[in-house]
Amino acid sequence: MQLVLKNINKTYKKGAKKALDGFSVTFNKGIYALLGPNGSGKSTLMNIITGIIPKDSGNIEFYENDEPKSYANSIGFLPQNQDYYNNFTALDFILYMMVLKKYNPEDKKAYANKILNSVNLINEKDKKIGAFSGGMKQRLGIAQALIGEPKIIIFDEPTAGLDPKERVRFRNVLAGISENKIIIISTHIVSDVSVIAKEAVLLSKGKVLKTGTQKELCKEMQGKVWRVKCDYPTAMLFMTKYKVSSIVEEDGEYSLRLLSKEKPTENCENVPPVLEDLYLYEFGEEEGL
Amino acid sequence: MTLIGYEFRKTLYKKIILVFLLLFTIVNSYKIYEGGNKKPADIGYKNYNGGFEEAFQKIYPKIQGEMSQEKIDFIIAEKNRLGTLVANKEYDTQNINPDTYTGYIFGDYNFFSDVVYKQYNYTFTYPNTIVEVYNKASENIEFFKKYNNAFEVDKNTKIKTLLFNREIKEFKNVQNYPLIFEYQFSSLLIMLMIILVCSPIFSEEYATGVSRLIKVSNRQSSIYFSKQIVAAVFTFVITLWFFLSDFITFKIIYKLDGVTNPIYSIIKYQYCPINTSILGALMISFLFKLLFFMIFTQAVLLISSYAKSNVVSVGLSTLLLMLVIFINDIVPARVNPVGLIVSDNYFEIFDYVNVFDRAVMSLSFTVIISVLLLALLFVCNTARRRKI
Repeated sequence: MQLVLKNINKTYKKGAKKALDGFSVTFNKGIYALLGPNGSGKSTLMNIITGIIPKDSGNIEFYENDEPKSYANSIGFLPQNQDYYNNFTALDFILYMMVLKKYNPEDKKAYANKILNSVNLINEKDKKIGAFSGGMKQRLGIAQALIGEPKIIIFDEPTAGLDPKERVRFRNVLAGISENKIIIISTHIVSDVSVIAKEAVLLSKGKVLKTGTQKELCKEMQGKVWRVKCDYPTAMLFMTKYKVSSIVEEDGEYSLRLLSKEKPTENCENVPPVLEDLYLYEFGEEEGL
Repeated sequence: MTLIGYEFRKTLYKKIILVFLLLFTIVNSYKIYEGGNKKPADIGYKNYNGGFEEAFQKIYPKIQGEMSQEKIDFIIAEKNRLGTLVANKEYDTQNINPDTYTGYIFGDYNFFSDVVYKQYNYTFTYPNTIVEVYNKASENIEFFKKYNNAFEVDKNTKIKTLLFNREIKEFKNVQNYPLIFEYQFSSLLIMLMIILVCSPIFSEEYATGVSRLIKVSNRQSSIYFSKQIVAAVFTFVITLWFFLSDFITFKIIYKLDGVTNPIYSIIKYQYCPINTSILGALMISFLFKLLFFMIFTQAVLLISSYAKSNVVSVGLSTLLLMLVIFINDIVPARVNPVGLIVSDNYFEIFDYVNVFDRAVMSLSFTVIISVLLLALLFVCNTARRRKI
């Protein structure tokens, strides 16, 4: 199974800068993290793949068993900031989405319950959505994207509004369904995808900056990630001088994880890089870090 | 449940709609009740003193139904008897007389002369009155033939055909029916209900972001037509609801009767350009209103399809309502679909326009313009169906 994007271009207004500029990437089975700062073209890319907005040029092809196929009816999508009908219950909404997606299992209610159970909303299924918290709405959005077991599932900031427990649950749900599917997750919270994403695609200014497995991507960060233990004034000094990905205080001592090509101080140790370090390295300045 | 079923649920399954429907129905009934003293000017209630309605109900069982010499004799005898008593000043203006209809001899005299005799006489002599107009139309045809005025010849021929053999067989309490045909307040309430229900139909999809999920499902057209069906059914039901509410309230308050009588049995509509019963006229009135409200609904849907939030959609639709009220005041009735709300205009007078020397009822123009406007708005909405 492959989703091939070839030379996708998109400009919203004539003369404006390109939202996508010759974007090309191939997605295979598995979970992909789509990473990039605001304005890098992530949402545009997802909206183009899902058909919400048209592309200016380029091709999107979907292959199953090396046969080109249409993916229009096998796509699940959770857009960013998604809201719902306040006068519907969670069950109503899932049943409605099943009708909308023309998905007709034998026992529709049982299927809807199963979907709601997978996001831990089964006990709230008869509650009006108007009474839902942001996290519950987000889980409902995840549930609707799973309807009909689509071949391609796209999540735009799926963990926004979820508490840590719900985030873990979301990761587990994805891990359970990712077999034989292409799942693309766009997020700012790199830690949410770093443990489940097979590959990551880094976008900048509408182009692919880097793509590969986490191992491949992190390879170039080898030797650039350091852990330093120091006092408060030194920690503050390091924060102004280097990109710091984490800072932890314990008994008055500060432990910093920072990025530097050179060894920042004698009293430090080199640590293996993770995706978050790469994100900070590539986009730290654009994100104001 | 089908997609249409879910659209009904999305649009109508809201408590606020039921609350407003009940509130508006009560307000509407009160408005009709409050206007209870406003009788049509030409049915003899000019000197209405509050007792004529009761008096009419007392005498109505004796005079209603098929016209007969016996009933005519009774009315004339009563009118003469009361006239004699008044002439001889044999009446008391201070104390209520239980043997009278209105409570007073003088009141009875006015009541018989201005109301009962006038209405009965109109009903009885209607064939003679109309024959005069019929003959006048025949004369006009001959006159205009001499001057080769094809339009006037056609118009008078149509008038002749229309008036031929008109008669009123039964006397019924029908003179207050024009109050229903003139009544406009419920139309305002219908438009407010349409704004409440239909203005969020598309805008809510954008506001919630569900429009993106609809686009992904690639079923914008199915959703669009489902929404159109919901809007059309709601417009039909709400128009019918207030039409029946108006009719029932007027019928109870004014004790209306004789719905199968011809429309021209109402004095105000003696020259009605349509030969139909009062029931038929009520149906026509309903269809005219429905046509206008369908246009209004399409306009609200068009606004909703552009608005990105419910507040904007409701706000712009309310401005549209104000525009409708403004248009009603300034645009001539012949080309003004808003005029369809008040069918009284169409039943009262002959109004023909010259179309290539043929006489065409002005009402036909209004209906054609309205249907074209409805079709245009529907096409505009349909063209935007992929934008959901």
